[in-house]
Amino acid sequence: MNAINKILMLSCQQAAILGAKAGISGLSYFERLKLKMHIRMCKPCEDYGRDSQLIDQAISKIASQKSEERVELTQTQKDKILKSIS
Amino acid sequence: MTTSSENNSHSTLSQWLNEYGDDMYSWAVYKTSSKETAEDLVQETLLSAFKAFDKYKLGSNPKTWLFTILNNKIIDYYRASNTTKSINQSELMGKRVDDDNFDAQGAWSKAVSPLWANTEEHLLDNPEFVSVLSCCIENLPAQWKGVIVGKYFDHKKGVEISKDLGISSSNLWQMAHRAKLQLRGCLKQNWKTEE
Repeated sequence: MNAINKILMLSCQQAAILGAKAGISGLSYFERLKLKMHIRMCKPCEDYGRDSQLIDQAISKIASQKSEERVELTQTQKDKILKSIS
Repeated sequence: MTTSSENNSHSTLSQWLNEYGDDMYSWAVYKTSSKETAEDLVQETLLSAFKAFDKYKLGSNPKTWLFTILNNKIIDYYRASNTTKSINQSELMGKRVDDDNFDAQGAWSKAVSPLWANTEEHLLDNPEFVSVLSCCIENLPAQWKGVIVGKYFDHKKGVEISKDLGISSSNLWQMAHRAKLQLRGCLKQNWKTEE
């Protein structure tokens, strides 16, 4: 953590949590500013941001694939389910 | 001794399972990212339908009725993941994820290196990579999975997800954060790029 980040009172861990908050609930103006400044001065956080985006995209891809995926119950599974209600 | 009406409802349910079982199972797998959980939920749905069979109105759509029950089971499943035991489990895992990634001052620990260099397009098109990530998602604690499903699968807003899971907003952000770190770690461990 360098001096300016210390003044801004934002650790990398807090920055990463703010990043997650941004993706879910959005950030206030001040939070956005703090995060932006932190990332500009912090190479590992910049790298993490890139990883994080890639994971976002990959999960979205999985989500759209899975929404079309059809899985079938085997006969054994069906028998087991029916047995439980008899 | 089973009564004839019980026999009757049993054979109707068996017929419904054949007709709609795969649809229910597919939906439950999608919503929970777990085949095992999905099978349990379909089973519980059938059992509830059997017990409440006299509430089913003849002529109404059985699939709609079954899916109403199933969706309630899915909600219950995520709510139930909010018990002390599983909270402790995800708290324990969360602590480990934090310790693996950050030092005591909250700076990235030296051991953490970025995952990839400029290979994003290639990776997203790689079915193997996607399936490793899929597997990593399946292994998340139930509540973290609930966050992933709510955000990326159902495109729900933060307030809705925290309501569904019965957790506070700040808890939700922390879980989303930890889930992502865990997925990143899992990918690093299980995805080997040929270099």
